Amino acid sequence: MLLSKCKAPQDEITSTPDSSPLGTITEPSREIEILEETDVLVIGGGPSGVTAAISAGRAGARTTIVERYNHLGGLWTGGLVLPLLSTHALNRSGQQQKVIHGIPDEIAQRLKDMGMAIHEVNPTIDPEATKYVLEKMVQEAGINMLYHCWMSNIIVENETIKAVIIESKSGRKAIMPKVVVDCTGDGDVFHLAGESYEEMKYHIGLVSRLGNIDRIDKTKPGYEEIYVGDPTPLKSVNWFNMHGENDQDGTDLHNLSKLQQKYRIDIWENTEHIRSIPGHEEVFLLDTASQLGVRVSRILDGKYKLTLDDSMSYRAFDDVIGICGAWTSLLYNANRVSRDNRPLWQIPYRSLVPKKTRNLLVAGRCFSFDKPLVEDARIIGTAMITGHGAGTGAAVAARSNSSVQDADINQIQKILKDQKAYLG
Amino acid sequence: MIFKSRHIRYISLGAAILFALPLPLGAFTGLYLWASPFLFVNSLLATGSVAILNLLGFFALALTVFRKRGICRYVCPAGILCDAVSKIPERRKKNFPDLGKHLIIISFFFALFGIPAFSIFDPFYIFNNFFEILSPEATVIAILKASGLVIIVLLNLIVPNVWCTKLCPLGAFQDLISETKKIFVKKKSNEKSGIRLSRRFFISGLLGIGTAILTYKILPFAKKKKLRPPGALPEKDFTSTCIRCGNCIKACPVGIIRPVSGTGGPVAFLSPEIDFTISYCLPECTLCGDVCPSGAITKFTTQKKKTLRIGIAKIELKNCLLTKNKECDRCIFYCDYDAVNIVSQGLKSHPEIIADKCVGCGACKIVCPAQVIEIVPFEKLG
Repeated sequence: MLLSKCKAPQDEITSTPDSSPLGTITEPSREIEILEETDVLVIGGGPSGVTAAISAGRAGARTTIVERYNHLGGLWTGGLVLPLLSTHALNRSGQQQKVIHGIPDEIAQRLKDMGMAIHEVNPTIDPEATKYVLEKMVQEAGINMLYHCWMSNIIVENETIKAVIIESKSGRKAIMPKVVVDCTGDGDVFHLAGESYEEMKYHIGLVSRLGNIDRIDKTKPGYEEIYVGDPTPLKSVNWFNMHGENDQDGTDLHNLSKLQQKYRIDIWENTEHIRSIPGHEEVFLLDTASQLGVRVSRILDGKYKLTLDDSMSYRAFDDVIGICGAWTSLLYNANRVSRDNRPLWQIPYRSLVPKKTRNLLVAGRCFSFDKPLVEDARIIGTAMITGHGAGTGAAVAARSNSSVQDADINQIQKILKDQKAYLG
Repeated sequence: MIFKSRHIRYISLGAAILFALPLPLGAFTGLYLWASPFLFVNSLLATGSVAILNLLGFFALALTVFRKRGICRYVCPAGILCDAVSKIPERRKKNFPDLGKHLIIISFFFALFGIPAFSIFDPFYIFNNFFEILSPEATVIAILKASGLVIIVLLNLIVPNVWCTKLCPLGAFQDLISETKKIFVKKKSNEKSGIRLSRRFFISGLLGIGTAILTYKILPFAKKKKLRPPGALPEKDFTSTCIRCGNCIKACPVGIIRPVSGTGGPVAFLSPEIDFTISYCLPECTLCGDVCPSGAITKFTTQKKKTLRIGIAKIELKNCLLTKNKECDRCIFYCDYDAVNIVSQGLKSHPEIIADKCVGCGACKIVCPAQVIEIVPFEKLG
């Protein structure tokens, strides 16, 4: 009876374009060159997209990634959100257990072997090393990589995405996919496909890194302790998290631009402040993230909406595709549940499946979950787990020419297990 | 007729036991206390307010107008018990002063000063308290509270019917009503009984007022503010109005209301206070107000609850995760009253409690991963 916090208002589902006081202009229709045909087309090369593509590629599907920047890993690497949360949680016997296996664990393991990941639980990684590892793995899996391009539109017929339009220096091109995986984080594809979703305004920050941390001179007269970020695998480098402004719309162009401008200045000036404190003279701003830290924006209203109850009660799903951990405390049934007491939780295939579109799967922070779950649904580990499930699901649907809704879940789970995913 | 009234008694007794048991009864917790007109009038005089459930007490009062000692016969569970015990052997009745009829007047005048302390002699209250012994957290206090019923039953074993006829203030209250009725209805001998009545009112009333003034002088009221349930009267009135029935403690669905222990001082002893170690006060719950028969916790709606302050949250920023640039938003995420603001200045952020909105529900205190939030009694600034 008690307490499900932050209930989503029912009427929040929107897809109406902003109306401009300047009116509209009609774009003439035109023929678009078909760039390629593919089995699985992954939009977005972040943690979910790269995992989805690797799993689909390894499952034998012809796979293409469309990525707007020049690297893989998205917010994890370019976004400088370096910790891989949440690798562990409590199992039924009351013990902390590692839950992230399969491709995400393979990535983490490679980084550890390179000395580019610190901490056993929730490792913090080096972003450049991670970009390298992901690049290698994508190449090993035979993935076709398209950098420097944006997905700008889709063509839908009979609730099936016929073509995905991308925009790049080469102009506007079409890709003909059998199955699309929406790994945009913001649900750009399901938004265009007319699926229903919730929107959530949340805090948006911009992460940065500081160099020469190992040259801070604590013996210098006038030295005082000041926050200079958290350690990374490189001893001279710290990463500097930013909470940022609250209640921000992560899909609004003007808003994102405004925040970007503010944070750019804030970060530089904060670094100057640090440098002005005796002992910190050699610290410098190494880099700022390639993109704003949008924590969550659109959330799919899919075939199944994963609930807080599911995540707190060891709920087992027949169509489980992966298991996630926990990294912060929450309130459940009016009680505090600390991170160390949080149970592991299963993600069902249905929470990656949209209601209508027959060849679209969704992975990453925009998959289908209830808002009270947001802190655990929006993080790198969960993104990769959902990516693994969606990539495999897309490969199975493409191979069997079935809709994603009708894809053989036994087949999907078999491939996931072959790829060392942990399904309980 | 005899058959019928016996049945009513059994039903009464059964119902009284049911409502007194430590069960998850929600709004029905301690429902029988509301049937006592003595408690009703006491709380009415003390707080000047009534609740819907007071109708039960009002009906019981109406019953006594038509049926002499009707409550003792049909409703009062303690009376029914005492009656049964008194019937066992035929013993010599001893002379015993009619303390009850003075007690009732003293009590009412006392209550007029906001202290319904004599409520503890109410038979419904005594009966209800006995069942505290069954609660899983029974302590010495529970044994003390439970002893009331044992004492009056033993008294009746020694001197048959002594509780009901001589001591019970509720019994005396009913007699008072009958006497008053006589004065107005019957013409015979009304002068004599009228004089007797006014004399009693005069003596006992003075005694009540005197005790009330003395109580205020002697007892250290409201030395230190405590975290009281939402809707509680101001501290001083609260400790004097609360009859320590334990209804709110039993009704609280998350178990955060506890009786103040001996170390809390004599005035606050056994009165309910909020302890936020295990849970927090749910925004959608109104039970403590619903079940309070004394009016010490006023009835409130969930809407009203947004303005009822238990205390206020205080954040120790030094160890706050957000202040240390760690990823955290738990206090703002779980605040149902929009009372937490995150202030960002450059790259630094910290949570801030909006004093006008924070009611001290404790949600942020409970969830905080760094455990740096405390709920403290609200002190008006300036």
